Amino acid sequence: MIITRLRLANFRRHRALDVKLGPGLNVVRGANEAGKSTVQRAIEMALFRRPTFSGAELDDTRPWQDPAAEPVIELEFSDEGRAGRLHKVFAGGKGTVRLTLGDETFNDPQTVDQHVVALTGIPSEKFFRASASVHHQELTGLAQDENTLRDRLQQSMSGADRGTHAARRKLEEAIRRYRTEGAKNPGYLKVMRAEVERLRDQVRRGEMALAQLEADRRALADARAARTQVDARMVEQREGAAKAERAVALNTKLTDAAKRYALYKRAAELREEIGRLDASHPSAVAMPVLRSTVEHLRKLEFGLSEMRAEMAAEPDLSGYDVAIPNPRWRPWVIIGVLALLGAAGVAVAGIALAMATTGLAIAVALVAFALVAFLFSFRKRSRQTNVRMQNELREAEIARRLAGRTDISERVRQAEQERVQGLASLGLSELAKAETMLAVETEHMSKIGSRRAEYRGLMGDDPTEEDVAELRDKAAAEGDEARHALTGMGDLGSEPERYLSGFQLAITRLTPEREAAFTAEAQADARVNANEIDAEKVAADAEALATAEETLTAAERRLRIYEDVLATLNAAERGTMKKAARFLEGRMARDIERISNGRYRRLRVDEATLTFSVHSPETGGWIDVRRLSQGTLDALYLCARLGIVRQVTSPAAPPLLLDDPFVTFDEERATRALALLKDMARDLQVILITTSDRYDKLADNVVVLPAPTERDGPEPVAPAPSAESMSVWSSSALPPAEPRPTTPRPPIVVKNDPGAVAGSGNGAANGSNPAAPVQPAPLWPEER
Amino acid sequence: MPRILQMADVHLGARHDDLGPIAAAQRERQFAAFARAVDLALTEKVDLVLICGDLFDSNSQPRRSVERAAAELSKLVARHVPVVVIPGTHDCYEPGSIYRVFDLAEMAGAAADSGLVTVLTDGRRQADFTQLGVSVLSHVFPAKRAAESPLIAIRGDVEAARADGPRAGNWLIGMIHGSIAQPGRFEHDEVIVTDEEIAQSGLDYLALGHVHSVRDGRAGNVSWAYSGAPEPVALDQDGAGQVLLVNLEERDGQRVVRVEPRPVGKTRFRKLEVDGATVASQAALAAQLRELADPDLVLDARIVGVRSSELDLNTDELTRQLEGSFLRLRLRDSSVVGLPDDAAVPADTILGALTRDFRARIEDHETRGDAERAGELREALRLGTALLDDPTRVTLA
Repeated sequence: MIITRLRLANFRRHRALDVKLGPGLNVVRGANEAGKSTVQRAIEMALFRRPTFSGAELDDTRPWQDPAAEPVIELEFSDEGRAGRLHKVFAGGKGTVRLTLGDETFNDPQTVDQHVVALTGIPSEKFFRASASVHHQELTGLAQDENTLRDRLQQSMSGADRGTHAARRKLEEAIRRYRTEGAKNPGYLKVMRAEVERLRDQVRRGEMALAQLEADRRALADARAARTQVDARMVEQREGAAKAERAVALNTKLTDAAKRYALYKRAAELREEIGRLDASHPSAVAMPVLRSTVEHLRKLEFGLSEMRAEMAAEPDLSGYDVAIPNPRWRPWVIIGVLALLGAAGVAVAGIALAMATTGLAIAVALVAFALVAFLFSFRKRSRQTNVRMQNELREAEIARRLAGRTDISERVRQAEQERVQGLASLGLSELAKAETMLAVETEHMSKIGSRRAEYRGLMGDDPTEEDVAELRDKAAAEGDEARHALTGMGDLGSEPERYLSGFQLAITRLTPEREAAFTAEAQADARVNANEIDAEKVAADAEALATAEETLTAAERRLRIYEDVLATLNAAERGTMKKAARFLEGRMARDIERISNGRYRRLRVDEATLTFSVHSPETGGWIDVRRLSQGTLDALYLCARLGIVRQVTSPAAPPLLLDDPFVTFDEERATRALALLKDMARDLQVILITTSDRYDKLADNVVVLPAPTERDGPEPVAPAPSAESMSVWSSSALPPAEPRPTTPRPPIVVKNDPGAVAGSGNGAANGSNPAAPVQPAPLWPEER
Repeated sequence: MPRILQMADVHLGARHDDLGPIAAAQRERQFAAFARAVDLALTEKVDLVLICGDLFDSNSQPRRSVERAAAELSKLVARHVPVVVIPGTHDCYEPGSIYRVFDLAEMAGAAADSGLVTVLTDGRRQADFTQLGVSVLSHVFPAKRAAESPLIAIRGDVEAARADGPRAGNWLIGMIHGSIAQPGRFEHDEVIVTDEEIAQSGLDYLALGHVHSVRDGRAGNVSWAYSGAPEPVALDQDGAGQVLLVNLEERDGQRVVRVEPRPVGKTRFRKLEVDGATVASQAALAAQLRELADPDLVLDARIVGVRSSELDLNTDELTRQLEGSFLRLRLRDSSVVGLPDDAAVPADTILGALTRDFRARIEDHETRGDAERAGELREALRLGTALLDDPTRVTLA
């Protein structure tokens, strides 16, 4: 691809620029701030930048004083005999592109990009900058450290503009952040896996507790059902027992009623019999009267019989005529007194005669005698009293017997009269009949008494006032009622006690069972309440686990990707560097000989480090190129750089764009380097941008940019344009002589009239004349 | 004519593994929707409330949840609005069922014989509301999986109710938590009834739960409807968020059931697929998603297709940027990275070798059908290219 013309409008400092280029070595020369780097940037963007790009970088490409302007770049080129034109208008989202290639025209940015890749062999702007577009700083400091040369060359073969080192470091750091296993600073994966494990364990324990809760609840429901069942059985047995108790009570009532019925029945019979006996006494008089009358009659009869017997005999006085002698007691009293007096005299005499002992003994004997005499006199006196009383009684009896015969007759008459009256009161004629009547009545009364006693025995001492017949009938009714009720109870009614005991036995047996059921239910309920697991908490844990697992899976996936990239990058780098090393060894053998004026003829490239060594025929050893002179090293780098460009872009042939790489070189070194460059790039177009005219003589085409008339950024004072620049740069839009405003100017309207902008472009000249001025260029009105 | 509020599948205490940090909040939103459904029953002055299964998400829900639900039901009890509940497949009537452990009626303050809160079970299959002229029938199996169709199981009860003098004229409403059989679908569900069984059930209306979206239909002369979940429980339930007002009417001697869906849920779920080829940049995608911003929306966005290798997309960062614009944004990149143009990569560069290596491996994995690994390698290629292009612009998380 040979760029034959570059036209710019509203691109940074170039309001309008038209530069003609050609094959071979093109030198684009201009003073500082003349916009040389802008030319290089314009070519890069024309080839690789999408017209729709936007943002700060787009603003940076506009003239600073015309922020609304739309930068336009157009390249005309030839490629293998075909003419082409690439036209881009950078207007943010409205940017357009048009590629004319032979007879074809393309407007689709993607299609255009594909054609540009095919034309240049370079896929991107960055790769262009890393390979075919060489900046002025690249040749400086190549020997500063062992990695610089390798890194710069590697950039050219990495397909990117920064090499692989930074990418690898970034990946390794990221992988380390994931993979670190230390306890102090664990990596992401370890932390996440630990968290997942923790949550899994928590959820597992939660699920187990929930399962236990469900089991506990099941047990509680079962226990409750069992208790309810036992309750129901207990209720059934209790109801049965209550019924049986009622039956027993009925049975008792029935028995009681039967007893009472028998009692009252007998009582009623007795009352009836007593009534009958009461109404049929044998005696007309009451029993007490009868008995007293009979007894009186008996006494009268007895008295009569005695009096009659007495009357029948004379009075007998025999035995009553004997008088009983009256005993005498006073002589014995006198004897006693005399004895006492004698005793006293003896005693006194004895004492007086000093015969006390004898005297006293005699005195005592006399006293004793006196006492006997007194006792004898007392007994005589008692007998005298008794004899007197007997004599008085005898006298009275004799008198009575003799005087009583008349009284007895009178008493007999009265007694007989009383007897007649008594028998008359009984309606009887004689005592014997009365005695019989009394006996009969006594028996009758006895019979009544026995019936009454039996009645009292049945009814008690205080028999009810109710009619016993009624009571009897009531007892019979109660008995019938109880009997019917029992009959209605079926078997239970027939044997209530047996059933009752059966029910009571069942209740006794059920009671511990029921208590056990209650206990089991209470224990089951306690277990349920003791399980503090909360389903919502487990749910939250499970949800957190799902999130954590998702995060871990994503992290593991990310790590796999990082490791894939790192491994593949390493392999790609090894393979590419090996291939590049062999390619460069083959391609640069001749170059090294020329660069070193034949001193070195063999070159060795380390495929791992891309370090270059040359073989020294003098020493027979290999010398690291960084130990060679700076000029040799620069030349070697250029050779390698161009070699790599050829390798990676082949078979395409992109233009080689150099921004004054030899700016720090002295004249001779720069000239040699450029000659080498020109030689190496025989089949490539080389565009060298420089401030120096020292390359003009080697150039196939020289373009001189006008001196700066405005700057890319605001400056208080614009430098005055030189006379030379004035000759090659003029712009009706931006008069060179106009002083630079201190404030941004309003946007400059680019008119369609070519005449109006004729002076806005710079001129360029092809051919052998190296300093031909650039020509004014139109602003392609047809394309706006 | 009786009016009924029908709901189902509240799933109190449900797990939301895919909702991440807002899962707990979503559980609260489900409860709030249940509370709104109860409030709706009161404001609409319905005569009866039916809860057709899965009120709770599992039988291991804590007492606290049951008490909260019972507290809501107590509002209905206080206004003497009867409620009939059946266990579902999540809170099934197995031995440890929540309905065996807790007495919902007692907890809601309903007297045992008031009939204001009735849980139909295998032991109690019917609830009669004489004043309303409504009988509710169900057949709940004491296990998650039904031994037979519940409609076959209640056939005898329906016939008995029809033959019962005082109840013969009642509206007969069936309650079932299960699926209506469809060829190729629901074949393995725990509880299945068929259209034919519904048609021959003898019921006037069949209130259904289990399907989380509103659906209704008719089999023979029998109307049926799913109320769906009051609040969506998962991502694919775009018909959820409602309860049903069921009007039982007689027109010209014919019994007519009219069903009105009423919204009570707020959460909306949406799945969005974004073609990676149309995503110009992360900022553009952020702007596109921001247009859908809704604090009640759970957006499950997935980037699919092939995206440009130049598109540097950090979904985590984007999710963080849009946090707060949605109830929950789940952004996943399932797209594959486009392979760079061969012509754009010089073969003899390191980038060229890297691209070649990755390309070969990607093709190998894709040939073997290992799309996931191939996707990783595509991503690796994109990352490698970006790192070689400018490592300073690449941030490795």
